[in-house]
Amino acid sequence: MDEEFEKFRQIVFRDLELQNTLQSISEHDVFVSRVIELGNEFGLKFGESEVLQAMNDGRRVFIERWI
Amino acid sequence: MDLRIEDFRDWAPLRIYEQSGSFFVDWVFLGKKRFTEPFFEDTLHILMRKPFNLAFRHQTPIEFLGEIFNESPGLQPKGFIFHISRCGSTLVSQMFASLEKNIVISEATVIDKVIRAAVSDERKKVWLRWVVNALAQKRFEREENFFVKFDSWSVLDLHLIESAYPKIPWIFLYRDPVEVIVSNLRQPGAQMIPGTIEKIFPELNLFEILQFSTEERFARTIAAFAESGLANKESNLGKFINYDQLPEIFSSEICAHFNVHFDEDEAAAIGRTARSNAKSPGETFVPDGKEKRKEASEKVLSLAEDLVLPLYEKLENYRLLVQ
Repeated sequence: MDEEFEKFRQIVFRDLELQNTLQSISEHDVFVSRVIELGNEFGLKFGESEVLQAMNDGRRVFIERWI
Repeated sequence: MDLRIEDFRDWAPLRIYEQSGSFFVDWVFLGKKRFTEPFFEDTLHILMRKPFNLAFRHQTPIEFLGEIFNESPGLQPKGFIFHISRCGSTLVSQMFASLEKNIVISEATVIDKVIRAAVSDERKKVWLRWVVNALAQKRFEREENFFVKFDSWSVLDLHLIESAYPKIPWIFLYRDPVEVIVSNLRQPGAQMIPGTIEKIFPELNLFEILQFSTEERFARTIAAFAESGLANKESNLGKFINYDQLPEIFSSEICAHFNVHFDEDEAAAIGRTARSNAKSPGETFVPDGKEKRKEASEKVLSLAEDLVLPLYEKLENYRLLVQ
């Protein structure tokens, strides 16, 4: 995983308010833009592809939970 | 980064998996979501539609569940629900889930994963207590009771579960075998997929299992569940409940057995849930036992009579004897 995006994930994991804000977004494109924007606010540079990759990983994990 | 228990307050185990000989847990953020859907999986589906939950999930070693168990005890379970499938267990769990004071975990994959993990029974018991504790965390002020409905095949491990929880009462739900077989023929549950649950036919390999007709495999599966329930009949924690008794005996027998009590308003809310279709909330429940028996083929009737009915009668006799 991209280092900068991983740093942002760790920030989010420690911040309940950020978690609630981001979870309330249901449109995928709005979510991706907001994550990139928030990352920038923390001085972290990553793009759409990193966020989409993380979402794809999540989908895969969800399917694999039966295995 | 160090894991802090307080960062997991609104998170629940999503899956447990093995990697290079070690076990890990993926977590899903619940936010304000309660487990109100008929099945744990339904709630996960709702959560996993949110982009946040796809992109952000905690990952921890399974031992972190042990840290939570030691540092942050959740609600103690009030009761466990076992069943032979298609016999009112979802109705019972939904009746409990209709009140905000109750947390109900219904057929959670993460619990099943632990019960069927390829580890020693002692390890399984420890992990079971850990994962159940993680799901029993009190997240809302009103929550005070916690219940677990297990998968139908978990009754094959009832003894192990009881020894992990030697003080927690349980009920075992069953129903006319013809109705259960027909319901499974209409829409087979996971327990009916050949070879999925090794413990159903421990002596047979997949090739041998596939020699049974579908009807016979279903009848034998239900018989295995009924037999396992019966094998635990001497337990002073257990209570047998027939589908036909529902929902009338919910309060007098099930709640009494679990030592939980609800006031008049709560009972009214539970009553409203009892009148709807447990698996499709919003639809009114229509009794369909007669229709299912009419739909049964000669083959189903004969297999039910030979393989399951003797066990059903034993369950009935025992229930009526101790009532």
